[in-house]
Amino acid sequence: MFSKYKNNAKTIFLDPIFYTQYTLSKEEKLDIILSPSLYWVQKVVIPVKTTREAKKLLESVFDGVLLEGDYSYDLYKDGEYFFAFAYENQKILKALKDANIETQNINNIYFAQKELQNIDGAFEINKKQVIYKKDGIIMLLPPSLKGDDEYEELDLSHIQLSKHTIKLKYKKSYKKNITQSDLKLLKPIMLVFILSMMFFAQYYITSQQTTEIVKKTQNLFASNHLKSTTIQNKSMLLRYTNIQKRQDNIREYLSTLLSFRLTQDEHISKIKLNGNTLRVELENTTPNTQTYIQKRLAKKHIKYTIDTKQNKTILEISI
Amino acid sequence: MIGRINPLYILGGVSVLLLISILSLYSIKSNYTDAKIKYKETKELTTKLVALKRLYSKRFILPRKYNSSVEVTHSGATTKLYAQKINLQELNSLMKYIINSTYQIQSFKIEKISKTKATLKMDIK
Repeated sequence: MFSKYKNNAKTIFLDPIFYTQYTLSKEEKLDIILSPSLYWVQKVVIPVKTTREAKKLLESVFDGVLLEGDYSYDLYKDGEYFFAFAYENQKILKALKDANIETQNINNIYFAQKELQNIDGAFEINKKQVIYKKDGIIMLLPPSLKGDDEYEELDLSHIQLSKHTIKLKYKKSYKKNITQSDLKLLKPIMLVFILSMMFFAQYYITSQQTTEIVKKTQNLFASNHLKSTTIQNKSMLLRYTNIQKRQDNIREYLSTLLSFRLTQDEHISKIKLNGNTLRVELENTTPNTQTYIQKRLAKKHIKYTIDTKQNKTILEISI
Repeated sequence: MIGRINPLYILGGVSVLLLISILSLYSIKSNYTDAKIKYKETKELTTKLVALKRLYSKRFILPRKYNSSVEVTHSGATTKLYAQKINLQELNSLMKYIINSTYQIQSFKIEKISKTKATLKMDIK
């Protein structure tokens, strides 16, 4: 797998000052060897056995050495020494951008320290810089010190790359990686997102209001000492409504009966309410009075039956 | 290698979010409307029910002035009134009192026994 990538990717040297601007297609991949200008390296002896343990001490290795910045750390072991690295993601990302290398074109990123450790002598890495090894540390000869000496050009295409790569953190450089097309989408994304948030906020408010109103509904039953369900209470209301209707009818009919204009001899001898029937007996009623009674009851829309026996009138009214 | 998300995916994601928010809001609005209607109905129901319960759950109290002529007994929730010979004027006054109150009249029987007297039997709940 590794060799497959290696075969496809071209190896380049990336320096933040003296760089080539590439024109790459999406499919082209680069293995990038970082110039010593893009990292700090220390060759140290750390009294621990494993690389993992050593990594915990990395920050202290560079304590007081580094300039102010946001650094990431890395290391590898070579014999009894550890090679500790400190690098700034932002600087590397800027160098990549300056060289017109998109993130999609990057296969792997390496330290020159690791990849060029086997060079013997000084080599021209680009037209203005020379790279060489001193005390095991790979260094760049500044352009001003290069002089007129001519050095052999370092052929990167034949370098056997190691497995020691670094992963860049893109979070802080995200804004710089936003393209024009991304910017065009930013507005609709923000708009849709804000709308969603507004709807969710409205949802939350309405949800709270719904919960509140449901609680209030439940409290209505509890505070009035009613049954716990609407059906039970509706049934109770129906019972009381029927009671009210019956009682109203009893009172209305009695009121009508007691308001009959009777002659001196005519009188009500018996009134009886049994079940839903109100029975009234009148004594000594004349045909005129009987007619009058029927007219009064009809006028009041009261359903009745009337029975007249000689001078006795019996009225039966359904409640 | 580089963890950048295609902005179109983000737009797609927030669009789905918008759709979910709209549907959720629509659903909760509908629930809220239902809850409001139910509250209104329940309030009307309880108001009516409480008023009616109060009206028709009153225990019958016979005014003192009728103590001599009307006998009162209680049988469960029912109050029984009985008067063997009650003066018609007194009966008229008692009936006015009962009719103008909201006692539940279950049954009654009034029978005139002379020109001035009558008998009364009445069950009130």
